Amino acid sequence: MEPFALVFMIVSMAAVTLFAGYCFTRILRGK
Amino acid sequence: MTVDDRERWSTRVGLVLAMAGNAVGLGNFLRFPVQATQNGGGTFMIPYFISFLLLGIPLMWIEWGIGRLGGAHGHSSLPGMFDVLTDRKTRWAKYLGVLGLFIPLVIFIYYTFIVSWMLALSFFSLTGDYFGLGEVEAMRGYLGSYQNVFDGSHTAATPTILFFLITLLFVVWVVGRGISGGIERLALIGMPVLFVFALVLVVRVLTLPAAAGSPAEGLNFIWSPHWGALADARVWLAAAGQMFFTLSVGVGSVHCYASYLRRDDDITLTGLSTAATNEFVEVVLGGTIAIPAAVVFFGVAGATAIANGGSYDLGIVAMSIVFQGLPGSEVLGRLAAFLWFFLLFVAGITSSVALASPTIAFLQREMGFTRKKAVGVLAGLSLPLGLFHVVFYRRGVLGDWDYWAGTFGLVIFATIEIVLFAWVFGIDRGWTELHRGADLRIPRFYRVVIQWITPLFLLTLLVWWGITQALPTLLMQNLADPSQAPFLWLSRLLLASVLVACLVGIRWAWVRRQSQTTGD
Repeated sequence: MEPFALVFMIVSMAAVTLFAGYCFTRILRGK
Repeated sequence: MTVDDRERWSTRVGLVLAMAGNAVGLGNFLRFPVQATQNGGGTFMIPYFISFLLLGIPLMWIEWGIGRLGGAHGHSSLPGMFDVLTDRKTRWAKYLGVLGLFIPLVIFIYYTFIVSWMLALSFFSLTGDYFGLGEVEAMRGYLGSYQNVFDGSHTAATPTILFFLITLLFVVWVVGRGISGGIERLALIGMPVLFVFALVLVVRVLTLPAAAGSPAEGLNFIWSPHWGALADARVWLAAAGQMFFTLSVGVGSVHCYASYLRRDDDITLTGLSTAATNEFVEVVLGGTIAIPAAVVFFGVAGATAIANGGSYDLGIVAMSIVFQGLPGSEVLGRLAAFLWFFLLFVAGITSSVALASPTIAFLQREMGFTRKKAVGVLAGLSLPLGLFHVVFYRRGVLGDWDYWAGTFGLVIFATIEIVLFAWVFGIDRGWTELHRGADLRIPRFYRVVIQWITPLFLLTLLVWWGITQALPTLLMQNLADPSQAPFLWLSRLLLASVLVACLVGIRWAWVRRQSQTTGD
């Protein structure tokens, strides 16, 4: 993969995964 | 039934999954990868994420807020909710809420037909019915014959009608079982199934041996940045449009689901969680299946041509061929094809159930119908109108309904609701309403976004789409097949009839409510 494409993919996927993980962790903790 | 003893969600996770099920649909797996590749590849993610922050998240919070507020006043559909937003001081607000009945009902009718294709293809994948049709045109012919467009193996249309009836009856059965017993239970089963199926397919696609292309080339194809795209207004508008489809905002189903919350239940964190789930499914899973698989089998040039043909060509025609060519035995190919189409069926059916909910809620809460009677009315309306699509799909009627209700209608509705919330109900009261029982403090910057930026964003979209698309579509300019025109006018007449029926229903419900109040 081209470096820019790889960076875009990793950053985008990491961002949404961390975002979803953060929200669900708080939901499961009840806060 | 009083306001307090109405149905509720039984668990918070169930609510999040049901809301996510509403948002996650065919668009996440079919529309997103096509939009990304057609609009700048990796650079599409910049306007996409900006639209998510400035359009998607604010609208989602507002819809949850309006829904919970309406629910506290005994309303689960938009006419009553808009009435509450104007403190019941206007005669017109409830009639504007007709869009929150009309849009989900109309989308429900044709979307259920599309979802029924996925059920049919799941079945035909297991039986291997189309295996052996390894060329694009052959597969188009097979699918077209199923859809009653071309003559072919399914020309009798019996399976088309049969799978539509099964899908419609299933949705009706689910909504007939109520919020926690039907919709929530479907989400608690369906969403994990969707995640597992999608993960299995992602792993399978990424481990495919290189053929005409490799999986890495496929990822490169979808994520390569084309910087010039950022200067193109159409790319920004495409990203904004994708927000509506992916989050199911501007429809009316989010409000309906949120109305079953308690007055002090959190909506900020719960709402954000559903949006986050949807984004994960779209960007991580949706972006990693169809395009890389198409590149492996057709190469970059072939996949480009397919993606330019649209979501249907990529997700259905091309993927059907991809599964036929998977390494290993045909049984494994059939199984992978089943996973893909059943995944799409699950994604679609949870959205279909959500689209049916506002109509059921309106008939029950505003017109005093029993659930059984409300479900019967929904089925009685959807069946003939759905069959109209089955019979006249070849005449382009589904595309026309999709444009007016499922595309342009969403922007009109969202513009109206944000103006009512931020300017009529008032941003101060609105802000307090959103934070009632909140587990998450919304950054103050969003006050400005909700009051100014999102409405301006929406107005720009409305004017742009109005001039460039709505007017030519209304006048049927650039119609590929002029013989379709009479059928399209007939379908518009039906659309107008549904709208009028919804307006009459609202009038009837308010007269009934007034007479009950007078009687009390």
